[in-house]
Amino acid sequence: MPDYHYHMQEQLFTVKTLYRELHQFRPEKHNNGKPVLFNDLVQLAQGAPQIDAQQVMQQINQSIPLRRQYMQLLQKLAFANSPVQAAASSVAEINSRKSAEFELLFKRDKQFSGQVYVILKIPHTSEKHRNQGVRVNCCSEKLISTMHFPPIVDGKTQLLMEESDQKFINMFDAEFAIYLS
Amino acid sequence: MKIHIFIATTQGLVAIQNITPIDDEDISSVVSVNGTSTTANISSSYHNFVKKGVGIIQQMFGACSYRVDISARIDQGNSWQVAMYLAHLAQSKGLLGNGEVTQGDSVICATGEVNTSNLQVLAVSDVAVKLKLAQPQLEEWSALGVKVQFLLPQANQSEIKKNHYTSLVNNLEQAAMALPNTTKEQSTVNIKVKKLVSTNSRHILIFVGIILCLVLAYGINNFFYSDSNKSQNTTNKTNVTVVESILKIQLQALLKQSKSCAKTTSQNIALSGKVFADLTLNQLCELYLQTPKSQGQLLLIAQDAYTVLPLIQSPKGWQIPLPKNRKSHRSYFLVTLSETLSEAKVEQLRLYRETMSKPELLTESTLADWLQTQGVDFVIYSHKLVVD
Repeated sequence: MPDYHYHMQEQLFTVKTLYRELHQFRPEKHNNGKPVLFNDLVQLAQGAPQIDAQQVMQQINQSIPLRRQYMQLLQKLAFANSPVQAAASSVAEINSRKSAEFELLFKRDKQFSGQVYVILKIPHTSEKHRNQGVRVNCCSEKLISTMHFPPIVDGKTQLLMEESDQKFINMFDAEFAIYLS
Repeated sequence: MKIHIFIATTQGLVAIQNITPIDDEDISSVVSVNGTSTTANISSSYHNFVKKGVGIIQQMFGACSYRVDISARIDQGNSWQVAMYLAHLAQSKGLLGNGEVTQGDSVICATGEVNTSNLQVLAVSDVAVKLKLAQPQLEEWSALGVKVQFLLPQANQSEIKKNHYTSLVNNLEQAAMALPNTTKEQSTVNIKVKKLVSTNSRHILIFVGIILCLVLAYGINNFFYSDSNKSQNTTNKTNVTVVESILKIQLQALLKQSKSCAKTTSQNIALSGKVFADLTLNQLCELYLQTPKSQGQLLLIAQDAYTVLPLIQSPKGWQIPLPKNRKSHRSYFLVTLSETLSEAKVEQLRLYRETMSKPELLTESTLADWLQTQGVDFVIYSHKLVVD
């Protein structure tokens, strides 16, 4: 084989390697060398409060395989869910999410109009919800967001949020399914 | 003049900037930082401090939930409770400042936990540190001509060196005395008035008794010797006014016909003596007291909270605001007055209510005692809204 062929093959190999590296998500190269393990996904899907949710969610939202795995875990492990809503009109925003197990609603603050009280009611709570709180996952095909609500007291818990917060918008977007864990 | 209330913490003074009643059963009380959506970790403890049955704030100030804005985070402990109570008290008098102190204002810094059963102020930790951290700020305000007080639990007496700012308190009643003199003066005035009334009351009672005997004798005489028309003409003019006003007064409720208040039916609530029949809350949409046009003023005085509210007259009558908290029975007095009380006098009535350690201590007779000192004719009705 002529020399220039070897040279060409070497160049192609280098280019393909670099191309693969650019397109493949390598968690260990991002986020300070902390890869997301399957166990992290399980812990998050179960609502464990000690997980660094922000960091894990960032990686989940950057990786289709991780997102798929997390969605499958939520479907298996979630305490309750509210599927994507069939909206009768083109307006996708809704005022509350209800299922047999929970109700999620919001009320505006009278004084600060840009702020909303997001209230989560769970009539029949588990000990975990009363001690550790509840994780609410909002899932669409392209994005998953998650919020941790404080422990349930008297069958309810609440967060005070900015109306413009994307996590709040997702919660009451009919195109997002809700999973509680 | 405003009163600024500060919570003494181990990180320095934290101002209570604002208190807003939410009064919505769905929303829990919340403590937010600087008006943002960031909530302080003490939010759930504050919710319990408000909640009726566990806490004291709803019981004392009426609303079932509040939003409190504070100037910095407070993460743990319960030593904010005395300051929070004082802030609610100042808010109810319209005196609460926003923490930006200017000349002529008053500042109260406080630390102490509250025993919600007996309203005693309990000892807290790190009082010396809290006082030391606050000291430069207290001196700065003092130099500005601001009246400054630092309230500490009596039980912590041994841990601090007293100075001219510090006051030791044993219970909430003592803590409330730190608020401006109006409260003290008012309570003293009330005591004086009560004493005067009780001293003169014997003479008045004897005098009224003689008049009643005369009226009775005259009435019996007319009953036997005159026809009924004549007896009506001889009835005391004042009594006629009172009887007429009682006959014409009606409590009208608008009740739901379906699930919403879009369609309502009206119902007159039966009056027996001066007590309107109980009314269930769940079907109630609106409530009006209808009186003769000459009615001067109508006051709503809650029996289970410290609310004193002059009502507004609409074409349908005097509208009675309905409680947002519909989970418990609500009792109140409706007082019809021949003349309108000035705002200052209404405020005096509020202060009179607040000097009572519990709102339930207000009875028809204690209310009548106070109203008698105002020189206006009045009738007290009572009513109860009940839960199914």
